[in-house]
Amino acid sequence: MMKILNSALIVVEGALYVGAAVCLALMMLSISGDALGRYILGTPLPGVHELTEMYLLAGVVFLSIARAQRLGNHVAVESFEAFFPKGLRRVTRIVGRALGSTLFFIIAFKSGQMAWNQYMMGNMTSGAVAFPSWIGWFLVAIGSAALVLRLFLQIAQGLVNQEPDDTGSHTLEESGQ
Amino acid sequence: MTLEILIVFALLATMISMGTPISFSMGVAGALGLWLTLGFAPMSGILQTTPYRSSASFLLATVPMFLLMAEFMSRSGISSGIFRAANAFLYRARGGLAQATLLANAFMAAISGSSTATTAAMASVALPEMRRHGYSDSLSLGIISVSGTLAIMIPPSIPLVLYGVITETSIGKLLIAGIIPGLLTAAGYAAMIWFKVKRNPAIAPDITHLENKPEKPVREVVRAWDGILIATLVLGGIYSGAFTPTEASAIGALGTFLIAVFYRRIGTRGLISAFASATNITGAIFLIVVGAMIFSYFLSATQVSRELVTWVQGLDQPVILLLCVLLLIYVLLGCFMDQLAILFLTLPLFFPLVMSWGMDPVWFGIIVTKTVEIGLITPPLGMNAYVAAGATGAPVAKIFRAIMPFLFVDIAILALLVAFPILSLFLPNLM
Repeated sequence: MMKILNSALIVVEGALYVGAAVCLALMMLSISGDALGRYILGTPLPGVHELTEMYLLAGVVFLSIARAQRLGNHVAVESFEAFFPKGLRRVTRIVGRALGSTLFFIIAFKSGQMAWNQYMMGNMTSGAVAFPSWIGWFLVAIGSAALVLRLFLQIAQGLVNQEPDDTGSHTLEESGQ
Repeated sequence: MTLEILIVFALLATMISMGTPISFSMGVAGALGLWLTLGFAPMSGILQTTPYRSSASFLLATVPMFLLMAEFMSRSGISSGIFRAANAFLYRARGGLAQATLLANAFMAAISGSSTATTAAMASVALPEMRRHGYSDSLSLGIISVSGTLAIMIPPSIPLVLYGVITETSIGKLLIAGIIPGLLTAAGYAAMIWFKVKRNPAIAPDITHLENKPEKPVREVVRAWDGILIATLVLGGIYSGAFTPTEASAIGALGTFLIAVFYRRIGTRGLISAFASATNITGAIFLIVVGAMIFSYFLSATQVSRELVTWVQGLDQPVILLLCVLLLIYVLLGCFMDQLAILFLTLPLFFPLVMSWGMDPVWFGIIVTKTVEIGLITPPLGMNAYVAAGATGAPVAKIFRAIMPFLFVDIAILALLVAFPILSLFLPNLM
C-alpha cells in the first residue's frame, strides 16, 4: 500500500517538477527577451515583470518543493542529529515533519481559498497585459498540498519503520553556494 | 511577552537541532509565535499571503537565473578552456598549476554565482593535471577547495543578492562591491601558494622543462572566448548600467545555454539535469525565504530586534568590539550551519542593530558575505571540502588539513575588510 502511494506521489511530483522546469526556462527566455528587445528593437516585451513575479517564480518554487523533500534537498543542520540514536532520530524526524506538514497544510488551504476567491471575482492585474490573479495563488496551493502529502507519507513510513534510511539527508551542496 | 519569545526561540533551536529543514523550523516557530502574540486569525492571514508574496519579487528571479547559468557552465566544459588559458600564462610561475587553478577559479567566479558548481567543475579539470605533474595533495586539494569560494564574493553572488533582498540594499552596488574583496582574497591565496612552494618546492615540481608545454597564451585566451564573452556580458552589463542584475543573470543563463547547445557540449540528459538541479536548489532556497519572512513577522510583532538594539546600546561598549563579537558569531555559526540559512536567520535581528551603529549596509553586506565564504571551508561542515572530496575521491579530513593555511588568509582578509571599509565601498561609490 505504502509503495503504491509512494509511486503515485512520485508521478505527481514529477509532473509538478516538469511545470517548475518549464517556468524556469520561460523565465530565462522572457527576461532576456525583454532586455534584449529593449536594446535591439527598442521595444521591451510587455508584461514580463508581472509574468515573472506572479506566475513563474511561484511555479519554480512551489512546484518543486515536494520533489525536493523526497530527494532530501531542503537545507537542514545535521551535525547534531548525527549523534542521536537511530530510534530518537526516527522520532525527531516524525515530529519535525508533523509540525512542517501542519504549517504547509494551513498554507495550502489558505492559498487555495485565496485562489478560489480571486477566480470567482474574476480579478485581473491592471498592467499593460491583464493577467488573472488566481493562478499564482493556485500554484502555491497545489505545490504546498503536494508537500503535505509527501510529508504525510514520510511520517507514515517513519511510523511503520519503512522509511529508506537517510532520506532526510539534506546536503548543503544543494543550497547553491 | 518574554515567555512567548523564549518559547518560540527554544522551539526554533530545538527543531533546527533535530535536523528539521531550516525553512520548516523558521516557519513553524514564527507561526506559533504569531499565534501566541497576535492570535489565530492574524497568524492564518500571514500564512495566507506570505508564501506567495515573499516569492513574488522580480529581484528574486536573479537567484534561479544565476543558478541556471552556473549549472550550464559547469556542464558545458567552459571551465576547461579557462583553466588552459590560465595555465598558459602561469605555468612558469612558482606553483604554476596551482596559481593557474586559482586564476581560473577567480575567472569562473565571475560567470558563476555558485561556489559548489565552480569547485566541482574545476576539481575535475585541475586536480588530474596537478597530480599528473607531481603536485602534493596538500597544496592541490587546498587550493581547489578554497578558490571555489571566490564565487561567493566575486559577482554574480547569490548570497549578496539575497542579502540585498532581505535588507533592501542596492543589489547592483552589492555585486560591484564584491569585486575588490574577491580579488584581494585571490591575491592572498596566490601569496600563500607562493609561500608554501618557496618553503617546500617538492610540493609543486617545476614543469617548465617538460616537452608537452601549454600553447601560447594568446591562442589559449582566444579558445576560452566563451567564458570571456559571458563574463563581459554579465559584469559589463551590470557595471555599465545596461542591464539590471536580474536581466544580466537571465542573459548570462541564456548565453551559456546557447553556447552549450550550439556547440553540442551538452546533451539532452545534461540539459535535463541542469534544469533539475537549478529547480531543486531554487525551491530549497526560496522555502527558506518563506520561513524567514514568517519568522520576521513574529520578530516585528514582538519588536525583538528593537529590544536587542536597545539592550546592546545599553552595554556601552565600543562598536568595533561589538562588531567583532558579531563576526565571531557568524564564523562560529558557519562551522555548523548552512550559510544561506545563517543569513536568513540572523539578518532580521542583526541588521537593524548594525544600522544603529551607523555602518554602511553595503560594507556590512560584504563583511557578512566574507564570513559566509569562510563558512564554506571551516570544519566540520565546510561544504566546499565535501564537494572537492566528492569530485576527487580524497578523504574529507585530508582536505580540511590542506585548507588550513588558506583559512588563515581568509581571516586576515576579513580583518582587512573590517579595518578598511573603502576596500568594499570604493567601486560602488563610483556608480
